[in-house]
Amino acid sequence: MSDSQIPASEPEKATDDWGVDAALGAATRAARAATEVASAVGSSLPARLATAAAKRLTEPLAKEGHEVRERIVTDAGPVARDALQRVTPGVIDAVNINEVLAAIDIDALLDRIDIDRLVSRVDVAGIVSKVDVNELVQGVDVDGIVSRVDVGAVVERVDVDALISQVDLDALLDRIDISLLLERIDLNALLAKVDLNELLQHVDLDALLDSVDMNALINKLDIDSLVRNTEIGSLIAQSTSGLAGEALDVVRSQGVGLDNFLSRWANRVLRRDPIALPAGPPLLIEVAPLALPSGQSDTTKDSQ
Amino acid sequence: MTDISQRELGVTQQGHYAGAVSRLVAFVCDEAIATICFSVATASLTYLVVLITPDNYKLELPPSVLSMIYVFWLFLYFSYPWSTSGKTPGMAILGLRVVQRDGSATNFRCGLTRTVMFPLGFLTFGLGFVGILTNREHLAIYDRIAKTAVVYDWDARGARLRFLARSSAPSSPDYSANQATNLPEGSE
Repeated sequence: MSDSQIPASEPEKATDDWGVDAALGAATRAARAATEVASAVGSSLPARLATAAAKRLTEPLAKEGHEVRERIVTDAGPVARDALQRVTPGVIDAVNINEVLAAIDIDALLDRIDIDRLVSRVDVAGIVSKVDVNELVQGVDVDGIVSRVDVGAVVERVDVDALISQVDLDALLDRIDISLLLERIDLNALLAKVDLNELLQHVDLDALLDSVDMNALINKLDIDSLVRNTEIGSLIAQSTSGLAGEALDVVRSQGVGLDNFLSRWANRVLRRDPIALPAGPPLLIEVAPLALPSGQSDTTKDSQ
Repeated sequence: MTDISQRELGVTQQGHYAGAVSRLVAFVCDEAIATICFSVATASLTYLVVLITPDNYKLELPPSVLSMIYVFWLFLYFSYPWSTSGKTPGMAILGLRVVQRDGSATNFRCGLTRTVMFPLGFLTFGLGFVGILTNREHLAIYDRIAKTAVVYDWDARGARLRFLARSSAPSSPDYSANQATNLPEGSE
């Protein structure tokens, strides 16, 4: 009996199967009765003779029963399937899935599963090779994910000190090519963004100037070159020009020259080392180098 | 070239002990100024007396009195500047100044003592001035007593700059050469 032959109305099916059901019921009872008799009589000789006689007498019945059993085996699959199809909806309706799931001990179930063995049987490479990562990534709404992330909370949970303490700054800096970095920086654009006025307002010029050694700075200035090659010389000449002033300078310079000439001779006669002689009063000589940076060297040169 | 070196040498001596020549020239200048002033003053006074007296009285003082007045005038002439600024008019011309031994400015006591003791240089037949040549600090006898010293105090730095400025002024060839060198291309 195939599935194509099954379609029929419910009353007609019940009429067709009634004979089979009755035969099966009779055979079942007969077998049960024979079994009861056999167990009661035992294995005595008369019983054996009776059994042989019974087999002889019931041989036609046995053949008919064998045929019926074979027919049952042949037709059992479709019949059972049909029966299950009829019964399953009712069973499903009768079963409360929630109660069943609540009764299951998930932990115990998971404990009985050998995860390693399960995973070892999974062909991960095969699965991955079948996955189109690009398509997968394109389908991800990164903006949406990022918008849902509370960055502040994430940052608060990060121990920045511990993070930094684990960073080897020396090794990091060694790997940085400063020259290449500077070449890629557009300093003009950077400086254009700097508000120098605001920056200078934060600079403590007094402290800055205090740290500058003005005396050393002035000593490095080539005042002579400055006067010779700039308008400053012209301004000085215009503001101080005068025959009297020039004559005074000449007279004083000549006087100084003669003084040194006499001093040199006096030192030679007295066999004194000019360098060891005091140049002037301590207070004036300590201040003099500020105004006359080349003084000591010229004196030394002259004395030699 | 020698002239330039000599001038630049003078610049380096500011604050140093002054030598004999400068001090001598300064003293000569002071004497000249003081004497001229005294002569002009006495002549003017004599002329005024002649003018204001009805019988054209001619004022004639004895030489001793005149000398005392002259000495007193010299005392005033030297003591006041040395007590205040440390430089007389002659020293100002030569760029010298009297200071205390440590370089600080003089006071009234220093100026007065130095003025009073100054004649010792002459009274010792000039030996009092020898120290200006031989002493390590160019001290005369009156400097030792008054605990003073004489130093170069003229604006030597300014003089040097003036000298350099004059040497490179628009009229000088150096200045013109420098300006021509610094002119931008295409400018006339």
